[in-house]
Amino acid sequence: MTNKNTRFFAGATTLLVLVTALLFSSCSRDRIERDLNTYESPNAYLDSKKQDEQVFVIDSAGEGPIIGNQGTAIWGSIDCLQLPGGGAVTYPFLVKLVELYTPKDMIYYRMPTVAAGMPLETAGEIRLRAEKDGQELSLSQPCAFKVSMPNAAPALNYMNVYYGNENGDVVDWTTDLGVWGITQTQNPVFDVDTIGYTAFIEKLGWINADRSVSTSGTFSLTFDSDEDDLSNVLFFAYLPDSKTVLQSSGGIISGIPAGAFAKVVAIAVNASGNLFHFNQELTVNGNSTVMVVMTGISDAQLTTLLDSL
Amino acid sequence: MKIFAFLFSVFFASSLLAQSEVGFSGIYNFQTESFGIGGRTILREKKLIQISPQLSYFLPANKINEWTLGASAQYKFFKRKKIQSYTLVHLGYNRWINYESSFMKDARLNNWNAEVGVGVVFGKKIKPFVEWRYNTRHQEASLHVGLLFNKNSFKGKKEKCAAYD
Repeated sequence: MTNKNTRFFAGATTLLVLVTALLFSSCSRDRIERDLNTYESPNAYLDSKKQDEQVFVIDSAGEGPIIGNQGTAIWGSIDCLQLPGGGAVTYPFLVKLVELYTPKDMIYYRMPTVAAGMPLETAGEIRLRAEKDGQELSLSQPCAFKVSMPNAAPALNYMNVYYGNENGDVVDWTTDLGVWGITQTQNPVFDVDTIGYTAFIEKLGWINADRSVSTSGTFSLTFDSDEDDLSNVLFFAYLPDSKTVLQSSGGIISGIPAGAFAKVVAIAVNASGNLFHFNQELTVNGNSTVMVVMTGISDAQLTTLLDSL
Repeated sequence: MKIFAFLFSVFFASSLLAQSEVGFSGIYNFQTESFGIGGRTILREKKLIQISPQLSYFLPANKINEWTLGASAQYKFFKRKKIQSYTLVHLGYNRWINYESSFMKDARLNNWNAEVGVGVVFGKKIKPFVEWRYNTRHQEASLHVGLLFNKNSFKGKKEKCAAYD
């Protein structure tokens, strides 16, 4: 082989090695793009922590009430229930109950207390459903179930009966039964009994003992971070003065009453399944941006944090 | 930057007078989406391995504003007629002027960069060249397109003397 050929093949080999190395080298846009920690949705974690739905098998008539684990009492008659086509219901059938009485449980269930974007003061949320052979039952009109929701210091004529209007993943609260074509026949204001708040409900589903928070205006919190990609982080704000739970939508928590003291909690899970959080307490006097740095936290620590809200 | 640019200009001009080449280029960095300009001299132009002091500057209008002063070692592995190909290794001092606006955790003003690349030069007098480089520190690829000049670049074609016809 001539010297010229040797040189050419040496060069060609060098070029081949170089091009191969370059092709398999990753290019990076780190200098112009944020090098952020990424997270996945915390929904699976929250689902694992949320209150179980309690199931009661009703196989015969009785005086009642049905009593949930946390003290919710339910009185109802089989005569008030109907099948989807309007047919009569026979024994046995199921009554299903979810009880959410703490901000922690409302956060785990992602059930904020907001009506048409306005904050609500809550004394608790329940979901009451009935089922026969896999078919969802409804209340016939005009008929109602009585519910009592436990409360240590209930106020007379204070809380209203709100119903949950499920729209995708979001539940919007309303007092207007007309949304479902139901004519209201019962007092929509909670009475007080030995258990707490009591009322006759005219629709099964999500029920909330609520009161609209009076406010001169509302503000929003947006979130930003130099270290974390917040696109999959869920943010909650608990307003202890009005017992209001708010949840972020599109990375923004809106509907915070002017001057409200808020406890903000952010929850996320990374690709390895590790739990991360952020929490901050602040008084909201205007639209503002909260700078976030997510930090690792154990399940027990986060549970304690949510218990302390 | 000014003193480096001045020294490089002097070196650039003196190179043109000596047995070497000088050139300039436009540069595009694909990852930072930045345009730059560059100047270079080629020493040992006729040799198999060449040395090329270089200066590049990425304008302030870019997302990245920086300059780099360094030198390449170029290995000419192919030459046929008016085409030459070479591989290169470039080491340089980099001053990343707007590093504070970057979200990169270890961004800093003063850096040492290493690049590897491959290039092609065409022609004999005014020589267009194309070079593709990979910055190993920032993991960025860039394309350099420019022209090289030597002392023959601006000389006209020799006229034959009739007395020797």
